[in-house]
Amino acid sequence: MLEARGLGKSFGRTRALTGVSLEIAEGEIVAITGPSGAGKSTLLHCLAGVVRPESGEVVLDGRRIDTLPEAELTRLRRESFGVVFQFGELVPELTAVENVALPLLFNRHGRQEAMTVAAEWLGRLEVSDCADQRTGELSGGQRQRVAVARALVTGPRVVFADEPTGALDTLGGEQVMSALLGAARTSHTAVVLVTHDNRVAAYADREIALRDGAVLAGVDR
Amino acid sequence: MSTGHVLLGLLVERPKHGYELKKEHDHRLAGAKPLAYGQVYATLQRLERDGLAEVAETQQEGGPERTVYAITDSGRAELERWLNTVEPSAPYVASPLFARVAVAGKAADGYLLRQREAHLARMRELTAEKASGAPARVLAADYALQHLDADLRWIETALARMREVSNA
Repeated sequence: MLEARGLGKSFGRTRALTGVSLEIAEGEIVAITGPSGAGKSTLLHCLAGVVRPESGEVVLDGRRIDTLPEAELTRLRRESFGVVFQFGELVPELTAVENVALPLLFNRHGRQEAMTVAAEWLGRLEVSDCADQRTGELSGGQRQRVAVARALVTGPRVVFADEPTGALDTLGGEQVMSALLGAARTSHTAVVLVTHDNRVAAYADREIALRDGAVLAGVDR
Repeated sequence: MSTGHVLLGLLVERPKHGYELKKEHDHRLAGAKPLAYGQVYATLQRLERDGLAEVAETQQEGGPERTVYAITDSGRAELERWLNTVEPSAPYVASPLFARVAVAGKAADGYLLRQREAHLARMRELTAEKASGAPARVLAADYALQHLDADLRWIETALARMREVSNA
């Protein structure tokens, strides 16, 4: 479903990715692991169409996406991808339910419908209580669950999660992972997890281990 | 850990027979190796010999004869002592994983990558078990997961140190 072929990317004289190829099936949960500087985030950004690789291709459902014009790429990202960051990255001026409704509004849904669907998603992730609170008032774990709702609300093909539990303690992280993967499995959404935490990687069906910008041989199966 | 102390702990609530003790041991110490019947009876006899447990009654209701054991006062004192004893904190590094690397040195890197995969595969199983497990099993899985994670982090450090040495 989502494929990378021979991706290469440098920042200045630093080589971030070298010939990375991988394939992610529909609904599959994959962990991209590796120490700091291994190229995890760069790979995630290339797959998610945020960064364009210098060499190689990114293909979604048979269609090459890394060469799309910016406007088209932006639309594809909004419709097909969801993102969860380490610190939630919610809009602090908005309430939880407004944050979750935001991607739907960008995709030209009516306000009433967007708010209804957003409220349903908060319910699924068991954070309905926080719906009308501004996100600055929420705990780290609540914020991440709101971020998961926002990532899934458009029914994307893939959710990209960059260290989604990085700011949480063990039990808080566990709740966010269960919420994210439970919801993703129900809706057959693929999840690409970037993490340096083996306990988070153990939630995935499969691991892609990066070392120095390349896939570690023998580990990607 | 001694099986004797665990059995004393299970006898605190009320007297029990060997079969009951085995079942409770396996349930409460979910994730531990199940106790063999032979070991249960041998341990109970030893506890009796040392005055830590005693035979409370012998039951025979149709089936085979069952000996019910009870904890004694000195058994309670011994249990209390054990529960409050701090374990020596890693006085030795005794791990087959470490021993291989100590012997093989840099040549251990291929092995370490395979061990890493095996650990991560087991961590996936334990993570899946936790999703549907009873509290005792979740607690055991947490313990196993965090120890495997510690090994994985050591493997990563060991590999990095080997690269450092070979680049020097």
